[in-house]
Amino acid sequence: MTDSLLRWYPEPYRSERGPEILGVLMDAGGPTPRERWALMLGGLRMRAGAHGNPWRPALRTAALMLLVLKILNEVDTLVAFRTGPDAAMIARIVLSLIGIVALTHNGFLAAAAAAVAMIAVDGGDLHLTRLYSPWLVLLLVVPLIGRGPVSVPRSLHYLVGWALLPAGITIAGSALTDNGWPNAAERTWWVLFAVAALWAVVDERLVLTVGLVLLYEVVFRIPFAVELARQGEFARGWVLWIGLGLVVPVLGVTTGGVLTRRRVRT
Amino acid sequence: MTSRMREPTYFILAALQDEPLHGYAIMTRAAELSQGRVKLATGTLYSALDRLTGEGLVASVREEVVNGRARRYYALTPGGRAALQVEADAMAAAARVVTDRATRTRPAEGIA
Repeated sequence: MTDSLLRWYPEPYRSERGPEILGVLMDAGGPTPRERWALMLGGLRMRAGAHGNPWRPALRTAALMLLVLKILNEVDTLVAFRTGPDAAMIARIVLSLIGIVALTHNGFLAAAAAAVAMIAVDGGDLHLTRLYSPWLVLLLVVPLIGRGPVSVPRSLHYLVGWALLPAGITIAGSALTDNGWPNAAERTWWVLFAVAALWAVVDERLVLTVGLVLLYEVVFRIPFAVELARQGEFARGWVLWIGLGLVVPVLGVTTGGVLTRRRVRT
Repeated sequence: MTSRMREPTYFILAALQDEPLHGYAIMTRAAELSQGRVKLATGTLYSALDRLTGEGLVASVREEVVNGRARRYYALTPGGRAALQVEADAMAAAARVVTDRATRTRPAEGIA
């Protein structure tokens, strides 16, 4: 019985607290469906290490994902145009690598400096509407400066690996848009978002991170929608494209934010 | 505005204000004190107890086996007692905003 009811908890916790929890369950009249659900959630949250404020790990992981995507984007450019790398491209790749190393070692000031240097390499152009632009990295890293190291759970480490998937699809050339419908790369983000949204029942950090990474979509698609409306070209396909683009970052950050607010309270 | 304590947490701490209690006794006492509003599931109770222990508001004080069932007793720490008092004061102040006004308002001034 211990195995079936408490299987979601890590083994050391099961050994230490299992008999006590089962004793309480028996006193309460046995495991009801509600009790089973609460035990499953409690165990999964414990395994995920879902405690404390999730904003800092989410900010760090989102910045890390953007830098990984930035390097992949540079590689994509190299593959697509079959040209040798220019000095600016090499500088962006090196600065992204410096940013990644800095972030993984909690060097947030150095990571911010790398992002500023990347903006400088682009002649001060923020490229506001691009996923791979350093302005968002800077925005995400600045709140982490001077506040000590950030502990990142394993579930968020997987996210960085996931970043390779849509970028890989883009590089493979299968990400052509067709009338505003989500392309293959966008669909992988949707799958990730769906997984993250479901996982938010247990741990809100995943959905928060995905929302933060895609914040650029808000900067990108809203002015685009306004311009289309101004020109009277706001067709249904565009509405879908703009709506889908906004749903992920807005829902991600608000869902994560609301759950955070609920859970960090004692 | 400061972040307020959640209702289940408040009643878990309130359940422990008189004496240390074991898990099931905390659940029943919290339900009783909250007039049935707080019905804790076992998994929820232990998540809360782990969190409150980590925050130093509650501590495990003794263990025993009764009828073959393991029982651990939990007690409020001085920090937990202080946090409970702060929350109770805040709720009392919030309640006074309404109750004091209701006392001052004469029936003739009401709508009905």
